[in-house]
Amino acid sequence: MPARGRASSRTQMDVDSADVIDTGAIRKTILNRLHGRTLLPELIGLDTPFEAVFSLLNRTVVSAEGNTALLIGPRGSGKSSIVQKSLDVLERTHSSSSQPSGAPSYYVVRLNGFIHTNDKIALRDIARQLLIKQDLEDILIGSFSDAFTYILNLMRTSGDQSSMPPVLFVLEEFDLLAQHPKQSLLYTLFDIAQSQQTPIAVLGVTARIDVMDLLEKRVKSRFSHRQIHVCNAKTLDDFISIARVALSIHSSDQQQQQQIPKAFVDTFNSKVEDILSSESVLSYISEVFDIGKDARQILRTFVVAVSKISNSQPYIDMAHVKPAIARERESAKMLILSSISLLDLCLIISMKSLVQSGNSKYNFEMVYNEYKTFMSRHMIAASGGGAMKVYKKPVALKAFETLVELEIVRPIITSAVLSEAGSGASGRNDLLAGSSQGVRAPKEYRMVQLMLEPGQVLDLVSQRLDVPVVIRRWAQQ
Amino acid sequence: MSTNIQRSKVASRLEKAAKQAKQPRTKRKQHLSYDSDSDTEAVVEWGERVDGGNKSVSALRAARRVTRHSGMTNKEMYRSVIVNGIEYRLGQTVQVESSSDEPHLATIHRLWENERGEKQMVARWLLRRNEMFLNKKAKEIVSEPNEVFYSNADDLITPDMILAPLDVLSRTEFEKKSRESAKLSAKTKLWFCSRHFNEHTAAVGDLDWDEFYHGGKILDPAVDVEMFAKTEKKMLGKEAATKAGRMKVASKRNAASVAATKTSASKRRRKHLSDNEDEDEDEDEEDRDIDDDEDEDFVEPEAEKPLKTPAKRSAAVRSRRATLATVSVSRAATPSTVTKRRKRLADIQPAAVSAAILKRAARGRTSANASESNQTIYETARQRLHVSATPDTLPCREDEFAEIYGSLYTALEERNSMCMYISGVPGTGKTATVHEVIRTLKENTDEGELPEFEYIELNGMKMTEPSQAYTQLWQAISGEKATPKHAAQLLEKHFSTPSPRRHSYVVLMDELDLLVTKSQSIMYNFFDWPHRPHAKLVVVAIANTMDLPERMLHHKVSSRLGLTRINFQPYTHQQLMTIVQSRLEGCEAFDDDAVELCARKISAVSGDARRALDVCRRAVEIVEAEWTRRSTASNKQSASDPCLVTMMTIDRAVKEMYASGNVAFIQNASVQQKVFLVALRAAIRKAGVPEVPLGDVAFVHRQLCQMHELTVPTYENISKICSQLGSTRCILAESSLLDVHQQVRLAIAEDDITVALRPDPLFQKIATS
Repeated sequence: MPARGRASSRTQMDVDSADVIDTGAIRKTILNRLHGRTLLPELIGLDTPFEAVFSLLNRTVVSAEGNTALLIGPRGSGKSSIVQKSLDVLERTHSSSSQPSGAPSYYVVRLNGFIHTNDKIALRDIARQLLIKQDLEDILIGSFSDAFTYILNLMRTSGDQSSMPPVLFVLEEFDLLAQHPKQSLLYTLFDIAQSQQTPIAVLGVTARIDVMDLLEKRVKSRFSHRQIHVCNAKTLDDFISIARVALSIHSSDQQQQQQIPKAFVDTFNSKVEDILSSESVLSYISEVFDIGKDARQILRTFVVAVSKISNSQPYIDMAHVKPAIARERESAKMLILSSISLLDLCLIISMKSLVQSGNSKYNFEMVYNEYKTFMSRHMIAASGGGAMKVYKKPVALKAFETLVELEIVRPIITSAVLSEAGSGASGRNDLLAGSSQGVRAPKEYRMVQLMLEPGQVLDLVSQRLDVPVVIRRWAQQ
Repeated sequence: MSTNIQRSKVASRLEKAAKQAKQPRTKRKQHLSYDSDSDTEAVVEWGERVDGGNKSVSALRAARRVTRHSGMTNKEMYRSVIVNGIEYRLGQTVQVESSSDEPHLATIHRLWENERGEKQMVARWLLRRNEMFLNKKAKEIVSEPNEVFYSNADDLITPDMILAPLDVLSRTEFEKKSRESAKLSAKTKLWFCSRHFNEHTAAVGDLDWDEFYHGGKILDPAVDVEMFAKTEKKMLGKEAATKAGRMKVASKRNAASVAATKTSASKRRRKHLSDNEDEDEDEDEEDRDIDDDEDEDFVEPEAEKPLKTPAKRSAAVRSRRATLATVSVSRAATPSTVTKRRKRLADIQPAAVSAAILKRAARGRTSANASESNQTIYETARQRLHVSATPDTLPCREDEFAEIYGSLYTALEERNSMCMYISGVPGTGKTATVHEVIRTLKENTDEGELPEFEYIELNGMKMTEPSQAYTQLWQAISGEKATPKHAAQLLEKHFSTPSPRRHSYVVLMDELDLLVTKSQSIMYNFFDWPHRPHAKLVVVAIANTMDLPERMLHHKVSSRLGLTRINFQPYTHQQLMTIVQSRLEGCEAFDDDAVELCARKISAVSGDARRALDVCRRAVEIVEAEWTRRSTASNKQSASDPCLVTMMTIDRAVKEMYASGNVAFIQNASVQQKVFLVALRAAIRKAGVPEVPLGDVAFVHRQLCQMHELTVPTYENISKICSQLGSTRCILAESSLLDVHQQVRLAIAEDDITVALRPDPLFQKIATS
């Protein structure tokens, strides 16, 4: 480290400070924020929902009140951050007041609809998270219902002996938990929350705005109907400041053992400010804001630039940001298609003209026929100019198979077939291997679809410079 | 008995009884023996016959139809029975088969053969201390290990359950014998009896066994009647009066048929025989009136229907007579009977119930006031409005309470079985009312008014699978764990075997609709057990659909469920108001209009009390937040004048809870997302079908963008927008694997889009173009 520090001190302008700065730590802190491993130091534009969530949880902890609520908002709008921050603040305020016995003044149980796919798993995890110190073996060996009753009884009866600490349930992907048969998990939780047995707070987190319709009527009746809506950043300024907060160094980032010099922090932050206010970055951010207000995408874009921070280059460099933006804007499909052969392109265009003439599905024979018709028409027009060659059928089939391999052309699949095939790779592209629908026709006759819109085909043709004019005109017909 | 257990459940009790007796249908009267097919079966023969009746029995049987009040039956009574070659006589003490290792002890109270030729007997139990029916008073009774109590608990059993004769000694005799042969008493247990136990009052009185029981039988049945009458007198106030009143009606039967043992006279009637003899004359005239009425109205279809147990039958008669008595009460002769009757009339149910209600209401109020302390009014209000703060008495559910309480009270009092079905939409207080009823009944038992009962709660929602119900019920009854299958067998046995050690059970089956299985065997069993003669089981089923029995249940199940149905109507706005106001009593956080608005809003939607309380609680929170904001802004000034919950606040709270969030979501969506929604709407309108492929939407989307000079998004971005909206279920989209061919449809109303985008000038333009 000292060696590198000295090396960088020679190259950098602020010579004095750079050699004592641990840029690695800074990089790590910022990267963690960009990846969502740690919270952003402040929540932008989320004060109202945060207040609501915090006061709800706080009331359960302080006045042992049963509460239920749903936190609803689109993905990436900061729901989990709100929950995490609320829990952090709760921990800070209540850590001092924890009981002398060392028992926490409240428990937090986190469930996730993706992980806890049935009530049994959820129950085991609740037990694990609640009774860490107890021996779990005897509970888990018994049947599910035994464990269920055991935990319920435990939650109930322990209130009599010594006041049971409140339990905060955070249910992420609440909509998936609501899809469990009978919803008995939710019923039980809501029922406890609205009876006096154990003070619990149930906070469901979900992205679905129709989540209330998923609840069964008796479950719904037990739910308090408290919905906290979380919105994406309202204005572009808010959106930019999310990036700013994530990228800058804050006073809370100061490491215990090593102080970052103020001068360095100021320069670093002003550099971030420069980058964020530069023309190209700004237009990119506003574009993302227009499309989906996806804050994660912005943060992701800066990952490469931040990871390049080192002692020799202690600031975020614009040179790394620009290619990242370009990459984000790129379309994977167009990238793949940019290098296909002219014959492939011709086949795509003939498929497009098939679509435009009203065929929703077609097979190789039809496509080749279309291709041949066009070519022969062109041949006559060009009268033996011989600029273009009509490829034979086997060659065209080979090219067609390439397109299938690239998944630009796919056998007809419906969502029913998809779900049957487990929506996995097995059911994806069976033109060559066999058939997903039991069609045993030779591959030339299997019906396919082009995974491109006519507009995209046009884009593709106009992108390429080596396309003969005839074909270009054909595509534009 | 063991064969009995394995019998198919569908076999009616009638058949069962016939098979228990292993008796072919025959009309021979004497010395009928089994055509016994196995050695293990007990051989039962009749001994001496009672010829006491003044009519020939065969004549009676030929007639078949015997009016009940005549005191005649076409049963044939016997004085003794021969089981496995040992003769047992009436009044003798015997050991009776039980489900445990220890045999039950009993005296033979009556023996007869019914018109089907089945041999039957009534056993009068000799109770060990641990078999006694424990209520608060009985718990204080102490006894020695070998002591038994002569009780007035009867059960109908079959003679083949008799195992062996039994010697019961008096205390002095017992002490003498045990001193003589210490070893002998250790091996073959000797029992002594010096006290009797009245099951209804749980009172214990002395009994001179030597005098009472002599030469292997009870000498004078009248002694025991008197004895129990004495202990019964100790019964508490109005309840005793009620019983006395009811019993009076039945008295004329006793007067007419002195040989009370001939019929299945209830203990109560016998008690009356001695207790109210002086009043009989007064009542004779009126009783005759009743008799006349009855003769016209109720000619018993079959005098001794084997389906009905004696206890049940007499209960039915009693209730019928009670109604008759109500009619004829004006004709009452003496003042004493008038007052007694009136008391009973007022008492029969509503009065007892309303007394209970009044008591509870008073308690509820005091407890509410007690919770006052140094909290702010908001904290108090919030606490009181929390759904969990269920008051001891539910306001606006008095009628339902009375109905349930009345039925359960009668069933428990008479130690009968019954089924009840309660329906109502969620949040109308079904479960809370039943809980309240149970609480009140428990109090009654503590006061000694009712025999002890056990309350078991099963919740369909809290079981992993319906058959778990068996396990849970068996665990509650016996404390043992069993697999559902085994538990079902044990329960089957439990409820079909008579046993003196039998509590009444009240089983609450909450969320009944979840216990519906394909074969519905669980519900069938749960509703069938109460119909067993010895079950003493009360089943209260709760579900939130009124027509569940008709819609989902097989006829055989709904038939067993019976006709006792109570429907909880959704609360009206007045009721909701009462509920909220009763909780807020003494807490001035609410404007009256605010409560009314809330009640009206909720009753218009669901009539769910939970919702009303939640809305109010939320409103309090809103006001509280405002209040703290104001008080921090202007320091201490506003602490003295707290703001009230007004109609505005309620309105806001209701909107918060019921707002779908769709409009807000669209308004906050990004520009391109909004364009996508508009494009989707346009594409759907154009196609005329609710689903369109993404490609079409993308085409329209890009067109719109070009027309209105927005940045034209790439196809990638459009499919990204599609999946973003899809994850919030604003639109429904197929798997994104299908790419441009995936079908997309709107999941929100088109109007929501229109409303949400109206304020936006850009989209105003897009929409009009």
